[in-house]
Amino acid sequence: MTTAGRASARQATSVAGALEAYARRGVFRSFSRSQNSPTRAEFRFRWLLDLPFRVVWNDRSATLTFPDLLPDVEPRSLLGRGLRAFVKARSSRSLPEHRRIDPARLTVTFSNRGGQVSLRLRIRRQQYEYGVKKAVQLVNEIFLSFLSALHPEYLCRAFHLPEE
Amino acid sequence: MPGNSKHRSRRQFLNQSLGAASAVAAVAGSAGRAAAAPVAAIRVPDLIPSSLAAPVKPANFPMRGAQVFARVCKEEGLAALFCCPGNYEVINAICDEGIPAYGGRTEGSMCAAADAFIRVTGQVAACSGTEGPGFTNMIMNIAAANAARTPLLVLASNKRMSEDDAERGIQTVYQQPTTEGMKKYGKRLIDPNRIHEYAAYAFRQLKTGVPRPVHLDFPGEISGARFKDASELRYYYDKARYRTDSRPHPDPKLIRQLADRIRKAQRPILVASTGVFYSRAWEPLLRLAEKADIAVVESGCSRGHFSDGHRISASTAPGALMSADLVILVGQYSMPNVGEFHFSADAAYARIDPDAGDIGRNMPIDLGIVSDERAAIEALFEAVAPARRDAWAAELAAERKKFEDENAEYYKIGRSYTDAVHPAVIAKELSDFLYRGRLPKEQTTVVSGGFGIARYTRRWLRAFRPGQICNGAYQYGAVGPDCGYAVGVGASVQLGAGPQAAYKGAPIVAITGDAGFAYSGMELETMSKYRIPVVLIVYNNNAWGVGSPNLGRASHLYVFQENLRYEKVAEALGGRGEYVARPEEFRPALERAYEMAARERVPAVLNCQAKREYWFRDQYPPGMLGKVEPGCMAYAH
Repeated sequence: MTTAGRASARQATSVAGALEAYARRGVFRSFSRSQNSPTRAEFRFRWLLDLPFRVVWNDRSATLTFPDLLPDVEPRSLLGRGLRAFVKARSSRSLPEHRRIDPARLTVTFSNRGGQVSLRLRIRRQQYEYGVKKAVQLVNEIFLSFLSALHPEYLCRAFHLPEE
Repeated sequence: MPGNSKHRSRRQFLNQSLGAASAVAAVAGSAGRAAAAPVAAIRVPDLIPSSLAAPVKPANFPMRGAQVFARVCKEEGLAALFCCPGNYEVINAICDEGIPAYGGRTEGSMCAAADAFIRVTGQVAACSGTEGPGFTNMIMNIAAANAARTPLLVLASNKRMSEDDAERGIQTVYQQPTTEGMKKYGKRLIDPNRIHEYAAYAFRQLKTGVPRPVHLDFPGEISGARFKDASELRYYYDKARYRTDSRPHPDPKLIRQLADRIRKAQRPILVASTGVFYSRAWEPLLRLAEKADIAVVESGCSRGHFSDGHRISASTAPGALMSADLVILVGQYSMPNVGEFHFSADAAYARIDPDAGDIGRNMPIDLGIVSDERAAIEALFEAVAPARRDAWAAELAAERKKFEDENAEYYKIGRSYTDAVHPAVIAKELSDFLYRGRLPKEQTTVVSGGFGIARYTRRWLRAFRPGQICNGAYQYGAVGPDCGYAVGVGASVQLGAGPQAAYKGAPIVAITGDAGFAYSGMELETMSKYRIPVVLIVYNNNAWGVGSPNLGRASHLYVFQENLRYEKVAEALGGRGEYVARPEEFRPALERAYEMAARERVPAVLNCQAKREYWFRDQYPPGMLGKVEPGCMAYAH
């Protein structure tokens, strides 16, 4: 294995280990991992609201992606604009350090293709554990602090949850 | 028992009353032909105060089965009975023992009343109904009590066993299978000689472990059995011998582990839920929280076991929950699943519960401790190191302020809608009246009911002492029982039961919606009859709590006629009422209603005219609000 190959393997192990730690604690359930290519690993598990989640790790770009995390989000709707603002605000210095995403260590972008929102997190400075932890924290907050608290009707519509 | 006035049945009572009514009608009929007779005022008949003041008649041998049972209820401290006629011998015997009793208009609402009484006092109460229809009328509210983990004693008469399967007469039903899944314990009593034994079964279950309803049904042979002396009863002995008051205590090693986790945590939080209230652990909880600077957030079917006004309360700081790094769930009987409580995925979880079989259900735990809640909190107090977490306290304070600012913004928007009363106006101005006016903020006990309106009122209601808020739709989500809950909470304050003692006689406030009012609004008559002062706020948005603006051809299923006058229902039932159509009218009407309730000891309804479109965010922001649990908004867990 080349030096680059060994480094890549270390990255993948760190990311997988950080995700598996959630599975060991029972936060992620029905956890599975598949290696789609030498540089691309995919993780599937059940988590919030017992929904299935998919996370893709790309070694080359050091990115963690939650593909199609949220369906049916109109980009210019109140929800779409609010989501963008909420994600941006996670890096605000007004948040306490333990709640804040440090852009020097993790950059967050999200795409909206045909209403399907994907979240892409690029880990910088080899801060893999930090990156995974903050990525999980961000998704957790999107579901609980943003959607459940402010857009409960979206959760019902998009994920077929009971309106009560 | 023909001729025995003590055991008159409803039919015998009605026969006598109908005779008298016919005579009155005959006179009125002849007078009516001449001129319109003045309409008699609604009044409380002398029979009510006179029977309430009648001397207590404790039973002694020779006794009937119902009296044996009632005597156990008295000895066990049954705090109140809520019922409709039926199960005559049992309810009459309970009254004779001097246990406070309330007779209402439907068995279902009386079941809710007993549930709510328990939720704000922590004392066991009972509901009762007749066999068949009376019993099945209680079902929704037995289920609600079960979901809330209420130690509710459900009593019902039943047909004689000798008539089993015969469909002789009316009202045949098998009761126990009907309450399957809604109770902790149930029994159809079949051996008269064992009635004392099964009363003991009931109280053993009601007073130990994780509470839930106990359902006993009394076939005619049981309640009517006669016993000359104690020798005719089997298993007849004192409660000191048939149950114990001892409680499971925690493993000291696990308490040390938890104390160590608390020491290492930067932002620990304790979720004080139903079990904290029932184990009366609020004082030890306060000592523990203050010693180690552990934030406390409430959940459960009642609120106030940790004051919202405390420096380290997180109940009105929803934004702080995600910061907690250690979550200690105490007496959280209705367990959330992952993602239902707003905590970080990195937070460690400890759970303290009397039931080992429940620890680890739904939510993975890092440390489980089997214990009575109070015992564990007291042990933890001894084990924790004193600590100050000023940064954590400052974050809590900042998040409380942020929440208040958010509420203020909702109020500002809601107040700008002038053609009807927005829920934010009701919530904020009610809150100002209860906690920032001339009333002591600890005084008023509130039934926090309704569906959509509750998404607003919960944000503004505060609890400063145990049992101050009855969380109406907790877990089961029934909005219909609200007026029944108001009877129970009102009765608890009228009697000064448990934590309500210091506020004995004060008016209470109850909130419901127009949908909920339909299920139990007739209980305004019960409140009026017993002179229970209740300010009942009805959020009238002309519809069920529907979040979607367009339901097409099905739309008519979701709406009512508009501008219905629920306050007139109150007036017709002996209460008072006001129609509130504009936001500026709400506060003055609230003050008048409160004064009237306090002065005249009657219920007063504020029918607040809203509109269903208030739930549609694009038309009327902020629309239907979401929620954050645990804390003041919690009702699912």
